[in-house]
Amino acid sequence: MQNKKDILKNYQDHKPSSVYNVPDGYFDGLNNQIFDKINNKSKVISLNFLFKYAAAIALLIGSYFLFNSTHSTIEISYADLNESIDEYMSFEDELFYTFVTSENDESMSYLDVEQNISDYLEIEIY
Amino acid sequence: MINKELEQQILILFNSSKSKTEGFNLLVNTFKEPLYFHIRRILISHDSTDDVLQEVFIKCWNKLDTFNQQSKLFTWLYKIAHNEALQWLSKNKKHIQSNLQQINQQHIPTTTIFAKDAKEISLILEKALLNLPQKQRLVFQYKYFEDLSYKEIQQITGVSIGGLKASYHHAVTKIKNYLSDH
Repeated sequence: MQNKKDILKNYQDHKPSSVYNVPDGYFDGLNNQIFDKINNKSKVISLNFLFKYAAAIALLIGSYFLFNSTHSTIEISYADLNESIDEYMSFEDELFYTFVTSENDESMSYLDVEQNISDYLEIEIY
Repeated sequence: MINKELEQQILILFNSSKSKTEGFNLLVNTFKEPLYFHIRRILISHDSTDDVLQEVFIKCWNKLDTFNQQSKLFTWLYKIAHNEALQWLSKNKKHIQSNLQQINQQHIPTTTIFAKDAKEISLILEKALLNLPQKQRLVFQYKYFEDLSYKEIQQITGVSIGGLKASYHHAVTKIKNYLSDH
């Protein structure tokens, strides 16, 4: 039991490098590799900042022009608006009238389903 | 264990804009080997360890100026390494299985422990570690290899001291059983 209790003491001088192989010179070049990555990342970050600033400026300029241009086009009098609505409605009325009055015309023949089916059967099947 | 004077020297150098790079180089030189083998024991493969280790040092470069010195610098670094390694593990579960098999396939001669050389002894211990559940393995690593106190391990892992003690106890029992069988 005593032997089992102290068995871990046999491993006090254990070195992980004897089990896990490390490529030659790995630790010597590690600092440079890390600095390379840090520099690359900081370049990407600074570019991202540039893009963000450029996008913000573009947005400001765009919204300035949009704001100004919407003000100039929205200016329309109520009289003009009423006139254009009346004109539209009269045109719509005309279309509706045409539709209603053409109920017995040929243009409504597509609604006669039974007749159409019998025509189709006669032509295509028989 | 890294002494307090060296940690202070690293922080003073790093916090000065003129000597920031020098301070960081000193930090990397001081911690690269212990951190590498700590991460390597978790991830097993060199390539993944290299990726995670570099990421740890890059995070350190970005965040070290916010380090408030309420804990030791090495505890802070190990915490970053711990989180990065576990994050990598959760993303690459299949990969780690094949790495474990590689270590388990390494041959150990069937002699008694007194006849084995240092490498063979090390291999047996590493194999014994790999047979532990992850939580117990990590606690054993911190306690046995890094010689950290439970309080320091708590700061790194966020696990309660009671939980850490229980995990370490289970780990030691299992490892001793494994070693006495080999």
